[in-house]
Amino acid sequence: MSIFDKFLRIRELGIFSIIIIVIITASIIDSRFLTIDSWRAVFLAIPLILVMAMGQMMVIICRHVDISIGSILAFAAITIGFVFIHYPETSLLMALLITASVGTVMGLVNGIIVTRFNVHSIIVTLGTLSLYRGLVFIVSGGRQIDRNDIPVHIISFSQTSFLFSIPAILILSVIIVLITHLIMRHSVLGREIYATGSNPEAAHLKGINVTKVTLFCFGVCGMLAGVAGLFYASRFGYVNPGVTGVGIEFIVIAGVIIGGTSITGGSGSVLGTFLGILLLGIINVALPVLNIPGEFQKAIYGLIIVLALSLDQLIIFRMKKLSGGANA
Amino acid sequence: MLLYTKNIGKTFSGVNVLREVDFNLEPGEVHAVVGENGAGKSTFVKVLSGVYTPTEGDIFLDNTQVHINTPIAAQKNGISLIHQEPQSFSHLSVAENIFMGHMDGSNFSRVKWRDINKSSEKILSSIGLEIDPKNIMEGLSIADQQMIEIAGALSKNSKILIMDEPTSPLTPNEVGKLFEIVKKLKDQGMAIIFISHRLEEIRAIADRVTIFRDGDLITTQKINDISNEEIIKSMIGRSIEEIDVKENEYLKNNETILSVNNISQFGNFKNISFELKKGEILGFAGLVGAGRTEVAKAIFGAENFDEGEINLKGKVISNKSPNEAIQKGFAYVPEDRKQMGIFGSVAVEDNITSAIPSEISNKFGLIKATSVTAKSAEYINKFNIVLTSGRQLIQELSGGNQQKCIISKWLLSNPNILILDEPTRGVDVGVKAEMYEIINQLAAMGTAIILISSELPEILSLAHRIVVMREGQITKILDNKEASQETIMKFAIST
Repeated sequence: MSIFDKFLRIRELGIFSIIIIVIITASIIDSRFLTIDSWRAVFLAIPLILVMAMGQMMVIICRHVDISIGSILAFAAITIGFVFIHYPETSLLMALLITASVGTVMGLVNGIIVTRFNVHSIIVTLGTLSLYRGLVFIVSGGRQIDRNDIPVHIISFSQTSFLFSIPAILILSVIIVLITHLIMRHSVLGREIYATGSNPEAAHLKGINVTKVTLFCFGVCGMLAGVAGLFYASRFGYVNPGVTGVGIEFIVIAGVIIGGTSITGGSGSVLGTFLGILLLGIINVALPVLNIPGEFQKAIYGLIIVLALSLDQLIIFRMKKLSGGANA
Repeated sequence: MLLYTKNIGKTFSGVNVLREVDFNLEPGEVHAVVGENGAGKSTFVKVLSGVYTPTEGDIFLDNTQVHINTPIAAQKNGISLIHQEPQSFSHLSVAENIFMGHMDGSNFSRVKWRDINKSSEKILSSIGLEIDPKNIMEGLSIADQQMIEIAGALSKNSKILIMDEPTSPLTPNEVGKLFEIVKKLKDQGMAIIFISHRLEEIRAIADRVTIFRDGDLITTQKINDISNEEIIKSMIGRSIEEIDVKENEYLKNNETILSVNNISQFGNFKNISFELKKGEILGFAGLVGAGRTEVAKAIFGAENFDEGEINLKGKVISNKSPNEAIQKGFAYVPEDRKQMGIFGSVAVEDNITSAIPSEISNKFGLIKATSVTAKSAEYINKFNIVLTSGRQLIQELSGGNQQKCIISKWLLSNPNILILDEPTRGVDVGVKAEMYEIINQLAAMGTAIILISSELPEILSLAHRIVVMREGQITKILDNKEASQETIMKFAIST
């Protein structure tokens, strides 16, 4: 097999080509798209989604899905918002710990219901999507957390840092992405997650604790959704019980799937997921730059996601044919 | 003695499926376990491999009592089960498939890729399999997947290997390879429990044979002390007569119903020509991968062909979809029962009547439950399908009974041309005989039958003529009188 052949077989190639196509198209239509400002916007928009996508990817590889992440994000954000109101001096680290713990508990509740009662995760998390959102309203009494409730050091978390003024939020997300990569690609547990998603029956017979693996994925997914809650408060400067995190599961799941994670479990990579989220981020920033009227943006965004998914499937199909032909 | 059991019994919801089984296994022996489906042999090996916990009785390993309550406990005790359908992780690498579940270290330890790749390579080459352990599992043949499962058992230093019908998905060539490995492992002191329906194989490989019937262990004998007839007799409690090819009235008329002229499908088969007569059973022999199934699917319209034409009763036809083929009187019983033949979680009745929606529904398109029951009952009785009620889920039936349901389904559509792809795979001796009876009856009623089978005795005792295929081409069409296992194999194997 030549190096070129090997290159063609890289699963992430399809999504990478789509990104290039989008960038070229956007810059031809309006060269403003290539300015530092747009890219800054892209990389500021990404961290929140990217971090959630890492957890969601693990859950999907394990043959499940977590739809409740938007509500987990909102609950963690509202919780930390109230902590800030009462204890404005709460440190960033403490805030991270609190949101991560809140998220982990909610994720584990999803996982426990799924594993213990053997209910499909779509149903379970559809239920908890509503349940957790309800908790947000109950806990907050419908009150919004405003910008002046959130301490300055938390706001600056998503704006400045010690390193070339790259926002700390981006650095933290990159660290989370790298850790996820190490776990998924190189740890025993990570490979057991793939095995469980690939063939749960066989995994059980091989002595893998499928319940433990599943709980881990849901726990991490919840944890990262919780952390994203802090990201949200920091970046947007408010938390609204009825708005925060609503519909975000669609973007996260779409990004993961566009990134090549199989919805039927067993395959997917951190690099692919990163590229998937990057593509969505680029499109999100490109649409306003290209003067597309606001009322069209959502529809076009959805359309591009569907197109990207179909194109990617087409590329996989071609690749399979290509490698099939080589074997025969 | 390596392993023995005392008074093993297993009860499922009050039904005894296993009674007082005293079984023993020596190191370095291949011990065949035979019995009809439902005889208890599968239950027994599931008890040994920790899938089921016995209701009563004890298991002793090296003269110490052991409790094998989970597959993991079995593996820790050195007992590994090789499944009939390999349990693979298709997305993962070969090495991972071998070491999954027992890699060094705990959760967050680094996977020692170099170590597991190296050990995998060593184990694979010890069983003569040339595969890069870094390859992804997807796309490997069943035979290779099976070898990799065996490699997995070796990586755990298993002392006892239980193989559940390992040869049923393999080609004769692959079976030969498997047997070499089994012999090698046996010489190294491994004890192997070998479940099979094929007596020739048992005779070729086993040292002793244990026969189960209706949950009882009937006897354990040295293979050389027992004849095939005695084995079959112990299995079914009656003797079975050899059946010969049956002539019928329609054959005498010599009326060609289907003629296939030079059809080709690039990469799969080339220049396929043959004629099929009313009342004829046309056998298709050849190795797995010779292109037989592809030809059948092309005729049935499930796949396209690139060249050539098909004549039905003298008229050129083209089946663009199975639906069109069904309208013209074709029926196809696929090879892979589980994936393509049945709707597992649907009732037996509904499965049987699923190909004739118009006959079981009223003019508004709503299903009439009474006609479903009436239509299916005819064949449930005729074929002696064993079930509790027509509403039972088909997946709860044994393989043989499922197969009878599938055939019933197609017969309800009154096909002129019936294509059977490996109809008796995984079916026990008793049901097999019933199937042969059914196939002969159908031919006698004028149905033209294409029978694809990898079991030569089956083809020889059913088919009037035998088409032999090799690597996508027809190498010979033999008349039954001139055909023997040797002549067929001569044309099926490339030299």
